[in-house]
Amino acid sequence: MGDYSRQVPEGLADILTDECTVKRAVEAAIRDLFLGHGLREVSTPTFEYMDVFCRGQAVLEQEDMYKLTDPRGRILVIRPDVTIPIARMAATNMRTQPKPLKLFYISDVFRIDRSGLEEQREFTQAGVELIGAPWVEADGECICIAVGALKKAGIEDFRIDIGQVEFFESIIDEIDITTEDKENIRQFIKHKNLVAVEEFLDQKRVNGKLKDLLLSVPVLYGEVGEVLERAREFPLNEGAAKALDDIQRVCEIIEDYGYREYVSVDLGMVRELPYYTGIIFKGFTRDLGYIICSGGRYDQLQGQFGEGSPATGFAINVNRVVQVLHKRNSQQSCDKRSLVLKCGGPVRKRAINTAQKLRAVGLYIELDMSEGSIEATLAYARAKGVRGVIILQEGSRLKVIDPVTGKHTITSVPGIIAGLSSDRNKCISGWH
Amino acid sequence: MDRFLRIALAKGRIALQTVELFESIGINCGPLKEETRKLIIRDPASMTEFILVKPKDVAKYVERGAVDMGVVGRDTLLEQQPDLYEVLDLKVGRCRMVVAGPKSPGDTSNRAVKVVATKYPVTARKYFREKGESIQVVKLDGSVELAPLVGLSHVIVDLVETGRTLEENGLVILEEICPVSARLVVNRVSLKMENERITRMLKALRQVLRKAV
Repeated sequence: MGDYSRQVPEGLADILTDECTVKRAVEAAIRDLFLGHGLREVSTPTFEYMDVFCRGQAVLEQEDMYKLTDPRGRILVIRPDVTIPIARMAATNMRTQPKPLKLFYISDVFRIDRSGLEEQREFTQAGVELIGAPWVEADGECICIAVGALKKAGIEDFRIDIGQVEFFESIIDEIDITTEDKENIRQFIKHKNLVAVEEFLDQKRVNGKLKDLLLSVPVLYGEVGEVLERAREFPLNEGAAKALDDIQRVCEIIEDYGYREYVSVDLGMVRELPYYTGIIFKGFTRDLGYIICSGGRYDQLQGQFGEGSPATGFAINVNRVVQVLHKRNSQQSCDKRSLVLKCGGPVRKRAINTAQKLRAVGLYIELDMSEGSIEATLAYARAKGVRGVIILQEGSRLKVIDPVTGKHTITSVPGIIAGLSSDRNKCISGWH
Repeated sequence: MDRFLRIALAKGRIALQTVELFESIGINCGPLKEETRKLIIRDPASMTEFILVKPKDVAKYVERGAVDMGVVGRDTLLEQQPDLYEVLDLKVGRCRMVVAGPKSPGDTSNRAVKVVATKYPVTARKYFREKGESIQVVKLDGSVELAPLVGLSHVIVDLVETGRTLEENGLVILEEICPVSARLVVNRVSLKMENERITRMLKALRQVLRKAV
């Protein structure tokens, strides 16, 4: 056996100070936005019975879940998904509460990735679930909350692609094929593999308008109005037409929010999670080749926990948002509120006192208790990107040295506090 | 058009034919046709940038968004099952994925489990699973044809272009799995974010391909 004592498992990672600061700020910004929409936060257990994730539509691949056994030998899994446990929670512990339930969570999820391509096996999801909300307006609200959250987190150059699973599903139902074949063509459509779609249709002897339509599904994406118009030129069955109407209504709500520029449509987005039943959407940004948020309607999932209730929701992958922000602004500096206060020897009590006063007004005061020189403290502060070093002076005066320029000012506790309120805005946004 | 559109090409067999395709739609790939050690080649006129990687790595670059698009054999896509858009059959590098073996099976035939030597374990397992046959896979990195000759396996699953290598080693095609050719694949985000440029390129390539037929 090799020695792994200096390693972390593949797909997991330590989060160092700068990145952790950004991550918590992103979480705080998103939490704030969710609360502003009247959502309430919930949290589900870190591990639960595997049965929760392996029944009916709540099917995650067994191989994708980290498993444990409880003291009685029952199989538990470490939270591989949050939507399913919240469905369980809503259908059991919250079933008597007034609907709709408007919930959000910020939780870590754990998934084994078998392809070896995914770099994340632990990541944080910030998500929303609107349960007991059958109306398509709820889907629109979800998308707008997602847009708001991404904006608030500091991402600007992003887009949300909207689809409706019933568009493809009701068209493919016109052909009499096995469930297996249906899954095959679903995969071809998902990968926009026109060659394979055509081969498949020829093999099944699908011709005429239906063939034209199915061949168009993968390329029916782009600007909302234009795509809907192109799609409506085909003769559509009731289900497919309703799917387009859903998308249109959702986009009208998005328009009302003034978020039109952030959305587009992709009718070739097919059901990837078995529980999706209506509108689905995915968010991405130019700076990252990955999806940063995804969601959709899942009207049947609650039912299998004994209390049917239509629902819709989404989740943002917080780690990927952080990755984007980090990429754009790799020179992270320490928080503007950070200062080092030189302490030690006879002045210790006064130093601690001063530090406590400054901490009380929201500054981050680190005490330097070392016996080293002022130069050493300045060098340390510089390396850490701290804003200033405070040296106690006679009386109640303080000397604040800028570690980079070496310039200093003589001030006092009230002086620092007064200066703080003048540039409060800058301080609050901290990591920007 | 402020950024270069990045395309990953596989070094080797199909590289030259692919380069010709891109040239025919007006992208200057001159340096790619010469013996070069450069791994990144730019054509500023068309704002295109090519990178040269191993065939097996193309999909990884595309899937992770390190490049916008790539050219990769269908054999590799079947084996790796990457999450990307497979938008065009470039119709170059055509061959077949087959099951091949000796004309007369050797004395290993009384074993219930067929041993299959291949560079494509995922493809082989999937094919035989769908047929309801149990197999044991021996993953090899080259000279797969050798395996049945020295008793390492009963059959092989491999790519066949002309069939000459098989013939010279006394092997025959037993079953055809699927035809294979080079595919143009696109990163899922790039297709949307660079929609206009990519769509234009696809249209041009389709036209060239139609003429070639």
